[in-house]
Amino acid sequence: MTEKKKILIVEDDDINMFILESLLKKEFVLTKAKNAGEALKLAEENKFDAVLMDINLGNESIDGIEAMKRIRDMEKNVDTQIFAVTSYALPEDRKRFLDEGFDAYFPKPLLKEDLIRELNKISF
Amino acid sequence: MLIILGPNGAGLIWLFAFPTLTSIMAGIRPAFIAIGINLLTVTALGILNHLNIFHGTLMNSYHTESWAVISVNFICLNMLTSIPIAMLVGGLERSLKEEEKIEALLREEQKKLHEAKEKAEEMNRLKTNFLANMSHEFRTPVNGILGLVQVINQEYKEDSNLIEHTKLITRSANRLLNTITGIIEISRKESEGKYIKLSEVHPNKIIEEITPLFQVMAENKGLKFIINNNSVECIIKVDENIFIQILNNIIGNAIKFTDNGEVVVEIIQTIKQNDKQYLSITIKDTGIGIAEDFQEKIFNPFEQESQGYARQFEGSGLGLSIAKKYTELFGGIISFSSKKGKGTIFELAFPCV
Repeated sequence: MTEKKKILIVEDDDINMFILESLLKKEFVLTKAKNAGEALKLAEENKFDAVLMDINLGNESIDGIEAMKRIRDMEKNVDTQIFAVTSYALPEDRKRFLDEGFDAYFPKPLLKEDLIRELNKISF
Repeated sequence: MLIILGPNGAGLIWLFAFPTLTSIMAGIRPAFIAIGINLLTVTALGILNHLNIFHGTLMNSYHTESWAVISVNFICLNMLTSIPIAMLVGGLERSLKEEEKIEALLREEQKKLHEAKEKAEEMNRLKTNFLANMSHEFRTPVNGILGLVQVINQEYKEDSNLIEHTKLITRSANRLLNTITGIIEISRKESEGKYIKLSEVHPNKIIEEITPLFQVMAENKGLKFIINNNSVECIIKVDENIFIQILNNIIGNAIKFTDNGEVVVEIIQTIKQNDKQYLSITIKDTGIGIAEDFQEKIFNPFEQESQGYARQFEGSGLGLSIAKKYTELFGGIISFSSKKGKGTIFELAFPCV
């Protein structure tokens, strides 16, 4: 069996974090961050294969878009796939987030199969 | 000055230039006063000279008579120059003032319009923002529900009873999601007309595409679904997605409110208002019909015949109001006739291009 991929989940909502963790913990090695600050610190020190990034991170001054851009600039995570996982799901939002630089876009409510399929596509 | 220089010198010229200058600088009334003063001065000088008060010093080079003739001529000339100049200047001033007044009015109106536009745009921005936030705030908990259902399905996949129940939760949550998403989309379309994209549409293609969907819906209820598409040539100018939504709403209603019998859709080309060609789509059902006293309300948003917690039928109560609004926006006509307990006939008509 190949090594499991390392995924950083950035999500401020406890329930949504619990769901992502429950759905993905078998197939992937998960690291959790409750806000952008934690996420940036973790990404500075560790290499991840993918980041699942919530966009609205509560009252933080840095939102998911800004956090994604900063992680992209980090040496360890230059090639990391960063996915937007968000409740911003109006028809024009997909284009908006992909244009900002996300590698993929997953509107909530999430479908486990969609997420796993996309995560499995990533090569180490 | 006249006495020192004498009326035959520079004083005379100044005397007669005075009204012309006055008319240019102060207007027509002061010019007449100036002419009056001139007349009086000339008359007074003439009388005084006649009485020999100046002892011949004033009129050393003229006879009094010729001097008087010249003076009168000068005054006539004065009138001839001062009056037109005064009128010209006055007219110019008046028209300038009028223009300023009109401009001020225009500016005021423009300002008002601008303010109204800004306000409307601000309201639209607020509404668009509000809708985006509402959509976000609504999806987060729905993600909680549907996500937890997936967690349960994964952890308890052997418990077939539980899985049956979670399927129902998923169905309910998805319906909720569809309803709210629909309402948000409609509100967004309303606040931003730019979402409407008119294009020339061949209705046959669309009708063929959506027919199977209704066939399944009707079969699930044990109804016959008949579609008489007379392959009309007419092309209509509509927003394709909204056109489909209108058909969905009306045909969907026909199936929803019919428990026995059939739903028949007939598509023809016909002549209506102003001898123009129209595409006519009639949707006839054998369903519960619409009570007479409710018929005038059916196009109002959120109106539903059965209300309260015991209401019989699902739906947001927006379907017909949307159908009417957009049918009319596309230049079409929506009409119906119905009898409680017998059924309903809806007709949608769109002008051919």
